[in-house]
This record gives sequence, structure tokens and C-alpha cells, in this order.
Amino acid sequence: MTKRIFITFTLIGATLGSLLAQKPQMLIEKADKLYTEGKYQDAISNYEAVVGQGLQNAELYYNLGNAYFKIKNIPAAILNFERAHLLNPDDEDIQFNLDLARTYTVDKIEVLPEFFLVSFVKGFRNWFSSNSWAYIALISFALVLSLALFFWFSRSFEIRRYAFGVAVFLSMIFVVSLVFSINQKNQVVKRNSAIVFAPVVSAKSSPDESGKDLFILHAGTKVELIRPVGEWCEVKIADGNKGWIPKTSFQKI
Amino acid sequence: MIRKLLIIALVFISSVAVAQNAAIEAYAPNVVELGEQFRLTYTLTARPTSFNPPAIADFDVIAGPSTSSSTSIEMINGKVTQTQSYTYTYILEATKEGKFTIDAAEATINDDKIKSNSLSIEVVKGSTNTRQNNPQSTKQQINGAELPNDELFVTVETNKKTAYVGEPIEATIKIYTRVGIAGFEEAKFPTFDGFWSQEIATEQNISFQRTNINGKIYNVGVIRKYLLFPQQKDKLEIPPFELVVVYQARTSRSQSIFDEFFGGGFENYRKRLVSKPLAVNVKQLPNNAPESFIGAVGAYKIDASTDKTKLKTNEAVTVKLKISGTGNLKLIGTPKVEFPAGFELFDPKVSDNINTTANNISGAKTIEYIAIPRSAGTFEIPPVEFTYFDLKKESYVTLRSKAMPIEVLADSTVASGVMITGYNKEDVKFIGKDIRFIKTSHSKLRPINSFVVTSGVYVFIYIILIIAFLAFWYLYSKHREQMTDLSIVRTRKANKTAQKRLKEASIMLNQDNAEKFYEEIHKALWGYTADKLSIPISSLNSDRVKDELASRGVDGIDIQEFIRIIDECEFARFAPNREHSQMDALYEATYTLISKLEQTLGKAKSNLW
Repeated sequence: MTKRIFITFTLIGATLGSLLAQKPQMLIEKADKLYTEGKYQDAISNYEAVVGQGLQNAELYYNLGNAYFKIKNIPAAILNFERAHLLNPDDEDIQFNLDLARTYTVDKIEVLPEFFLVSFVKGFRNWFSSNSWAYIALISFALVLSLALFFWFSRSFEIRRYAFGVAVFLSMIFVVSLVFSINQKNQVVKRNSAIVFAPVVSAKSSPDESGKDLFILHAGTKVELIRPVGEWCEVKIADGNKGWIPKTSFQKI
Repeated sequence: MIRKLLIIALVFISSVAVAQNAAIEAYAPNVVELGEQFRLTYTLTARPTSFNPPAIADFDVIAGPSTSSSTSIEMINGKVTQTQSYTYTYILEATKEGKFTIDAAEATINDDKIKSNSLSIEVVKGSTNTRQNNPQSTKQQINGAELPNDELFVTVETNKKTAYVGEPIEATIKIYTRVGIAGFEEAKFPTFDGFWSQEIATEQNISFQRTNINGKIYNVGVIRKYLLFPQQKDKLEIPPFELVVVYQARTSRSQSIFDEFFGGGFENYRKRLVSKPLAVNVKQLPNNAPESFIGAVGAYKIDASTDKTKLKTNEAVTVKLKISGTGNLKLIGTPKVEFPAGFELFDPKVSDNINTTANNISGAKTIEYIAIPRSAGTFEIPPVEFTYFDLKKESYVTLRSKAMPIEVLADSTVASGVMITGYNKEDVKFIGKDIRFIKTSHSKLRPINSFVVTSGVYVFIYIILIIAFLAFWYLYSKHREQMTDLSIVRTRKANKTAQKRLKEASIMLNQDNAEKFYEEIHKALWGYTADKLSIPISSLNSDRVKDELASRGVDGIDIQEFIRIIDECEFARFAPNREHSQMDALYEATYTLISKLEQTLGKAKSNLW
């Protein structure tokens, strides 16, 4: 028994040592392979090693979420799917797996209906990721500039008229995509939502153990963080209710 | 006393009377007190020709061997069976403490040499009142109504204190007594909450065995035995067992000497006995259970087979899965058999064949899965997976049966001649729900919180674009300004230059220099148009000039005039002999044309951006 433990530890030590030395791309390839072979725990440690190096992309979080899902760690799976979704909001697979993982959570919260225009804009914004919007903004800006040149220097009245119209349209696109790009970036950077990790946590009316219990949250539920006070944080759930839960009970997306 | 012994002897003898041919059995109590007299008996099933008892060194032989024989004849439905038994009885006395062995006795019956079992007897110091020939005699000292608790008690004992979920635990309810028991009343058996319990069949009558506890000899009887399978991870409490015992003890009333002599003077008393509560620590099974784990704990084998390998559509095929082994067989669910698509499944039929043995449950569970193939083809039922938790290895073991090929032939009776089109179209069946597979193509890894929109390069590209835009704008407008200036000057000077050339031409006309005259007229007209239209002379030709003039609103007649003059000049330059009057007319025409053009083009100039 002790011998077995010793071997396990040396193995873990050896893999950890080799992990640190490996390139992230190699690690991901290895993890993908381990996942395919069904060794989810090993795949997770490889993916996490890459995340630990401060690197990220949507696929990495997606695969990590999948591996967590396979070992039935639903909160961690949801957390990683949410992260992947933030980085790549228009990916259908990410959305699918996120929705599926959410069906395994305990809490069923009535989502407050959103004003249709807001959800329309949000849907439009989620067509592309922050970076794609940034590139769209850049291209449309370049086009606006060249159209401006046409407008100023063309002798033909027709050309000038069209150039003006298209330039106005493109500058609108430029502004919108720049705003969307920054907006999406802020969502990722600000990290103002979180996933509950504690199996059960009761939301209190004040940031204090003595506060009155308002409602109970279970692992896997997404909450919006409003303000932290000490070891507590005020959170808002999807139906609009607010309460205070300890900081240790959730993980930021 | 004697009566009692006699009864015991009789009961004993009758119980061995049914023994098989030629056997010898030794019997003695396994625990005796120091100084106690007890019986050692050898019971044979037939009269021996010789009997060699072992040497008895550790005990004093007080009497014996005395022989007795009994014969019993049974007649059942006219069939007569006769059993005989011969008994050699010794009365021994224990003289020293310790554990002793009495070797086997040998006997010869019908020329067969047989050996008895050897006995081991423990001699203990015994209670305060030694030198009594029977531990039960202590009751004579006890006042019946006030029996101490350690004289008579019940226990619930388990063979282990910690167990995994699903690991069998043997629980025994025992009664320990040092007094005579007349009967039981009102037994309240524990409810084994959190366990699945299975009673093990015990003897109908409780048979007492002697045992030594802390130097005291008790008669121990097993009341009931259970096999418990813990169902949940916890510290599970087994509630106490309660029993009202009727026991015999000496009456507190005064008695006559005759009563005592005849073994009387005893009375029945009741006492409620409660066992101590007991807790079992139940451990959770390890977390890494494979998917095919359905609660089986123990040691199992599986065997899967189909009743046929070739069948027609709409005929039933049965897959028989037999799980055999020991463990919590009754608590195992049904493993999943993945039938190929197109098989209609029915509820599996489960039958158990289970034996409860002393310390576990063993047997087999047969699960029959009935399926009906609805489409023809060659199918394979994939291997059935079954996982159990092996208690010895403390790990999960996954068993896998063989894959079972099935060939399904089309059922000719149904399909013949009838073309079913779209009749039984099926919706796409969603059999399972699972997450989608991982992404195998990866985009570039970026450091966390690095975004294009706020990166320096991104902003820099904007700056470059603006700079390029401004630079282009500045340079182009500059160039344009220059170009405009130049053409304005040229346009303004066009008329003057033309007038100068015309004056030159009139001089040539007066000198009658025809060649020079035509040259000057030609130059004047070309130069004027070139300057006016801001076209370099090198790229001028009559077609282009025609188009340009027409686009600036010059009359068609004037253009024709222009072409006519140019043609005439060019023609005259190669055939210069012309009359003076002709030259004069040309001069006039040119002059008129230029002034006309000057009027039209001068007006058109304002339209120029």
C-alpha cells in the first residue's frame, strides 16, 4: 500500500516536473489525446497546467470544461464553459455544452425577461468575439478613410455621393464594432460574474454570519457579483434577487 | 440433578442415533471450571470389536469408562430402519488450569479402523464458589428475584466494526446465561436501519454452548443470525435487542428439605434484557467508480449469451446475462445491454437463485433481455460491461462479456411484394445526451486578458492609418493645386498665344509664304485647343479633340470647321501651291473659329470644378 502511494507520488512528481518543462502547445495536444483515451483526470491536469502558465483561448477552456464534465465536476465544467463562451460567444458547441451542463445544476431560477432591444443588441454583439470586432473596426476605419479621399478628390459627382453614403455607413459600423469589442473585453477583464462551487450556500441579508438567510444556492449556479465586503460578496442571481455569500463559496468566471 | 443428567444423556443419545454407519464421535464441554466434574463421551454407531481410548493425563478420571448401548427402530411407511449406538462415558475432574487436548480415540468396527475427533478443553479458575460440580449450581446462591446483570444478558455482536457500503456484516444475537432458562417472551428484534438485512437460518431450538468470559463460564445460545449489507455511508447504529426471559432460580420463600432434595424449590422469574447498542462505521466506496458500476460489492463472474444467432425480423431474441458470485447479489441492478439500433426492447426479466450461507450470500442472478429486431442485417450486440467492487483488492473490477453477433434475415412473409414507402418513417432517435466532443484544432494561445482592441499594435495601426491618410491628402491636394495653377495659366494664355500665331500667319500671308502660313495656322489651332483643354500636345489627335470639344458644349458645326481647317492645313503642308484668296479665307475662318471657341470654352471654364 505504502509502496503504491510512493509510486503514485513519484509519478505525480515526475509528470508535474515534465509538465512545467513542456511547451503549452505540446501540453494541449497531449491533453487532447488523454481525453480521447478517457483519462480525464490526466487531461485536466495538463489543461490546467497551460492555464496556469497564464495562457488561454476559447478551445482550451472548452476542452477543460468537457473533461470536468466527464468526471462529473459540474461547477468546474460550467465555469470553464462560461469562460470559453466569453472568449468566443458565437461558438455553437460551447453554447450547447454550457446549456447541457446547466441542466445538471440544482437551482432552477426564473430568468428575468430582458428588454427585447437589449437582448437584440446582446445577440448581435455575441456574433463575434472581442478580437473579431476589433478587426472589423480596423477594416471599416481604413475603408472610411479611403472613401473620404475619394469624396474629397473625385471629380465625378456620382462617385462623391456614393463615397459619402458608404463612408457614413462604414463609420457607423466602425463605432459599433469598436464599442462591442471594448464591451466584450471588459466583460472578460472585469469578471463580474461567478459560479457557485460550494455544494450548498445560503445567501444572507448582510455580509455577516448572523445575517438572515434569504435563499439557498447550489453548486453550478451563475451569480453576478455586485460588491465585495471583507470575506463576503453581494451577489445577484438571474431572477434579480440579491444576497451576501462568502467569497470562498464561488469562483469568478 | 441426576434426572437432568439422564435427560441430557437420553437426548444426546437419541440425537446421535441417526448417525451414519461406522462413526465415532467424542463429546465434552469445551470449557470447565477448576474442580468441576464433567462427562466425556464417545459415541459409536455400531458395536466395536475393539475400543482404544486415549490416555487421559490432564484430568482425573473419577469413573468410567462405562458403556451403554441403545437401539432405535423406526418404521416409516413400512420401511424399517434400525440405528444403534454405543456410548463410552468417562467422568473426569479438572485439576489444573489451562488448555488441554484429549486425543482421538480409536475403534475398530467391522474390521474398519476409525478415529474420533480430538477434543480441546479449557479449564478456568471459575467463579467464587468453586468446587461445585456444575456452573449452573450458582443459581442456588442467587436469590431469584434479584439476579445480577452479569448472570444473564443478551448481546448483538458483529464480526466487523467497519465495512464498505455493500460489504456483508454478520450480526449475531446471543444470550449468555448462568441460570436455567425456562423460556422467552416478548422478543423485540432490532430494526437494522440503513442496512439491508437477511436472516440466516439457525436451529429451531437454541443450543447452548459453554464459553469462558473473564473466568466465568456461561452457556451461550445463538438466538438469531443476520447478514447485514450497509446501504449508506455513515456511522450506523444498530438499536438494542430486547428480550424477556423466564429463568429458574431458587425461591425466596422458605422450603422444605424434601423440595431441595428432589431438585425443587425453584421458581420461574421474568427479567427484561436489553443489549448494548452497537455502531458500525460504514465507509464510502472509492469515488472513481466506472460508469458500469451498479452497486455490486463482492466477487462476481458474468456470462452473457444469446439464445440464437440467426433469426428473422420480428422474432424475439433473448440475451441471457448471468451474474454469479458472492456478495450483495440481491441489491444489484440490471446492467445495461446496448442493443443495436433497430431492436425493440422489452423489460428485462430477472430471476434470482440465492443461497444464504453463514457469512455471505452467494448464488446467481439471471437477467434475460428480450429484444425484437425490426430490420434485417448483421448486427453485433456489444460486450456487456459489469463492474463490481472487490473487497479483497479494495478496488473496482470491470468484467466484459464477449460481443454477440446476430444475423437477422428479412422476414419474407411480411415484406414480399409489398412496397412500403414512407409508411414507417422514424424520427431521428436521441438515445443519449452528452456533451459535444472537444475541439481538436486550436487557435493561438494568448496571455490572459490580452485583447487586440487595447493592444499597442492595434492603436498604432490606427495612428499609421490616420498619418497615411493625412499625408496622402496633403500631397495629393498639393499636386492638384499645382496642376490646376498650370492649366489655368495655360488656358488664360491660350487666346494670346493663338492671336500671336495668327498675327505671324497674317505676316506670312502678306509675304505669300504659303508653307509657313499653313504651319502657323496649324500651330495656332492645335496649341490653342491643347492649352484650353489642358491636354499635352503630344497626346492630341483629331478624334480626342472632337470628343473633348463635344463634351464641353462646343457646337457640332464648329467642330467640323475645326477638323476642316486642320485637314486643310495638313493637306496644304504637303501640297503648298495655293492661291492667295484661299489662304485669306482660311485665315478668316480660323480667326472666327478661335473667337467662337474662346466664347464657348471660356464659359465652360466656370463649370470646371
